[in-house]
Amino acid sequence: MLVGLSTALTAPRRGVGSVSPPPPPPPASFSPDDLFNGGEVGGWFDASDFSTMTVNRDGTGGAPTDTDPVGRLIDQGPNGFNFLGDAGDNTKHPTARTINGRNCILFDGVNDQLNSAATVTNDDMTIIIAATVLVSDNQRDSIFSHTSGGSAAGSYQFEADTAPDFLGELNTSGLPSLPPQPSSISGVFTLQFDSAAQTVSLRDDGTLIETATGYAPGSSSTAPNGTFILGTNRGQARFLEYRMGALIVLGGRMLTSEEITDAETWATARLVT
Amino acid sequence: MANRMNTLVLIVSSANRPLVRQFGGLLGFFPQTYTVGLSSDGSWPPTHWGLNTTASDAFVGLVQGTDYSILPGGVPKAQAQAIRSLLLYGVGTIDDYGSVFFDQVVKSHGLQRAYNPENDI
Repeated sequence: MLVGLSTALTAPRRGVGSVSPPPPPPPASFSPDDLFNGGEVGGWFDASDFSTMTVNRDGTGGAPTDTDPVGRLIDQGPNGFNFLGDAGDNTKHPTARTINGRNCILFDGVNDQLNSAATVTNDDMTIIIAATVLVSDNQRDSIFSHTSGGSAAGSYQFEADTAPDFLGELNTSGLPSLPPQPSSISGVFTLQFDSAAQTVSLRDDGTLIETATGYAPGSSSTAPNGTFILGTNRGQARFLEYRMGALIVLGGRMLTSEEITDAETWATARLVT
Repeated sequence: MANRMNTLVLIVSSANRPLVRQFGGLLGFFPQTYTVGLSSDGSWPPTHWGLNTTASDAFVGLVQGTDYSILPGGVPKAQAQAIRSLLLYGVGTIDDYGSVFFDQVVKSHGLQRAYNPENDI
């Protein structure tokens, strides 16, 4: 549901095929772990490294090789914020793929998904994901969603929407909406929920696309809470086919602009087109 | 060397899903596979259920009835053959793995994906 809160465009719209300047090289010493030194919640994930996941959801089966399923994606941070494949259907587990020599996780767009093993709740939240969308049905199929037990309350999803262009959309319930914006089908997407500014913003490949006002923190009906889900919408019915190279989910504080830049640069290096 | 070099789409009717699920458990599938709802017109509830997976040559052979080497000990070939008769399927290369091939196979059997309106939000 799109609610009628104001939305301000803060950057020119960019069409598919536009060229962004190459990001600066990442600081040699930067690791997403540097972001988790103050008790932040959430975790970070490097899909370019198959040793950071296991074939089975219970942690057995060893690291996958190309074409193996991924049953567990292991948090590389201090919180053990792992993602697990479905407990009842192991054909819903995504697949480890090596594309042109680079590793990623492929969500098949049929029914693959990974769910965070723990819930994550915080009014200040940043999500950074390196993703290449392969096929979208232009409905509600989503790169990720953040749900409360599958209900619409306190949930949102980041959709790949609508033909003919890929458009990033934050489809929300109780949160300010980010209307669809022309965007790339492959890139590093950053969503920031800022309780002090009461805004939700979207960045694509280091460029601020838009900022929506009206984010009301402190309410269980509006703040992001619950299970974090990769590959599908909050109702877990619409699945998106895409490759994921990296993911950071961090709550508890707002990242500095320098941290955002470093983290996006790190994620860009793991993007598999 | 990866051994799951095939894409395998399997479809079963709602009536036969419990039986096929039970047999799948003998081959390492979790107990609640076949979770993609399918019907001829996309309406809910589904008449059929599908799954999409990567598969080894031996597993594809089992589905096609040409290779029973991966059957666990004690599972009679006749039981596998009986289950085979309940399945619709499609086989592709590993590069076919994804929603386009899945939908092609489903369509070839006169079906399409169905969405539960309660979850299609």
